[in-house]
Amino acid sequence: MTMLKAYRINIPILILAAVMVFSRCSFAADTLPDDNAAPEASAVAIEEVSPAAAGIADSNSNKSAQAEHVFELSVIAQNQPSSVNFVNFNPGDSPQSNEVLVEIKSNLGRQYQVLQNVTSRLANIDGQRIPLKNITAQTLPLSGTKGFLKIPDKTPLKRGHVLLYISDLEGSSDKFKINYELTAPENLIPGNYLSGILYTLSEI
Amino acid sequence: MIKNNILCIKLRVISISLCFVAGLLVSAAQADKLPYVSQSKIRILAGPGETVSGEITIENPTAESKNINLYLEDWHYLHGSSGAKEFVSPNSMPYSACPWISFTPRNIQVPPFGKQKVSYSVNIPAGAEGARYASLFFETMVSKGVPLLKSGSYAGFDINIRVATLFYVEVQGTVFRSGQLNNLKVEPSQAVGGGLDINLDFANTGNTDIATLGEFILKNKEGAVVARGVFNNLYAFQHGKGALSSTIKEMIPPGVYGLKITVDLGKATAEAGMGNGPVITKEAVVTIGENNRVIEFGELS
Repeated sequence: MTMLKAYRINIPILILAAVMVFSRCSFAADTLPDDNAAPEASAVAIEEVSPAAAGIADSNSNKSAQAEHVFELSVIAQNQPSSVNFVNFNPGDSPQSNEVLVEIKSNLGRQYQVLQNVTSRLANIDGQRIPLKNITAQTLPLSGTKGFLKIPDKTPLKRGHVLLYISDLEGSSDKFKINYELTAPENLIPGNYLSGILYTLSEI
Repeated sequence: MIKNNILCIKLRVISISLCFVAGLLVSAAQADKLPYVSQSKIRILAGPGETVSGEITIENPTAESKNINLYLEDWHYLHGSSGAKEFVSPNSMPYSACPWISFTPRNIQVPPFGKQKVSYSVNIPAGAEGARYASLFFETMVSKGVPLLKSGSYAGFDINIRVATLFYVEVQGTVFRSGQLNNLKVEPSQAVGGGLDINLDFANTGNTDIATLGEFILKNKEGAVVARGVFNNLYAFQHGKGALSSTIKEMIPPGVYGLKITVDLGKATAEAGMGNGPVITKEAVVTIGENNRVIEFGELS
């Protein structure tokens, strides 16, 4: 009798727990990259509220009765702390590497692209610079990458937009890595050098 | 009895622990959940002097508040007509729609798991014609390159990401889609395995953007199809040009053939639910010898 009472109390809780654990497995499989734990991820969501406004014919309206539209970009630096950064490098050292995981999820069924834009010179507070040519970028496939990587070889960074990736014609969800590699310049003046990288997701 | 009570307590402890751990894991998963973006392309057809308004909702499905900057830029197609785009300063392109578009607010703080609406308005000036283009960006910071060293060297990058909502604004009653196909070439393929390459030039002679869907069929004298294929999708602004290409992989028996090329100029409007076409159809005669040797090919007509 006591056992029965115990089961009456605990079975629903156990079922709830099992469901929650199962939910976690599903979320994890959907959201985390294969290779490494994700230190940080961020993105933006946009949803059209009134696509049928007078005079507007939007490309998604025909599918409004279907599943919610998905078109998202996440950029996850694999370094700790989560950023593209190079620490304590000196002339003559081996090059330092940083990897960034880029993941795109889309159910639009249309081709899309990812651009990289180095937004400023890599400079310290005194205006001293590390030439961007001392940092190379290279796009690397992951297992199952479907789209077209546009920087297959190590290529010096430059300011402005550079096309990193174009999806397959079906606009499949996809992911790839970018490897950044810094070689310290011979005339390096020790200091803190900062710049910025802007990644852009847009439809073709 | 005592054993039963102990077992009961153990089961409760285990189940409560499971619930607690599972709850933590679910929270973590939700915190990691990546936001989504819909409505990444808006095509507007309205007359001169008309104003079209709409709303876009920005959703933050993460557990952190997000600061998002909104701004307009121009865009143009990169060389190659693949549809790849480059974004440039607003009002810097001849077909910029930036002066026609207004929106509010310009900066928003989206609370955790919250939504914010952005209102936009497209004002088409009286007397306007043709088509204009712009992009509304939604930008947020992902990480900051911060740890400043007191000695040694540090190089860090702030990382920002942005997504684009592309605007295509067509002035109703003034736009027309037209194109020309020229310079047909049929020649041995450079690809491994041989075959025949079909190349031709496309020129957008209309006054709006064109995205193409092209295909070809090769028929023998009896009218039987011996090869068919598709061309690359081509994207061009008004007055833009590009190249269409495809490959016949099969070994074609020697003979005289009719090559029929069909190019639909309405891929973009079809995707927007704004109708199909127009379609260009051209034909040429191709004479092929032994081992896919091209003896001659005629003009498109």
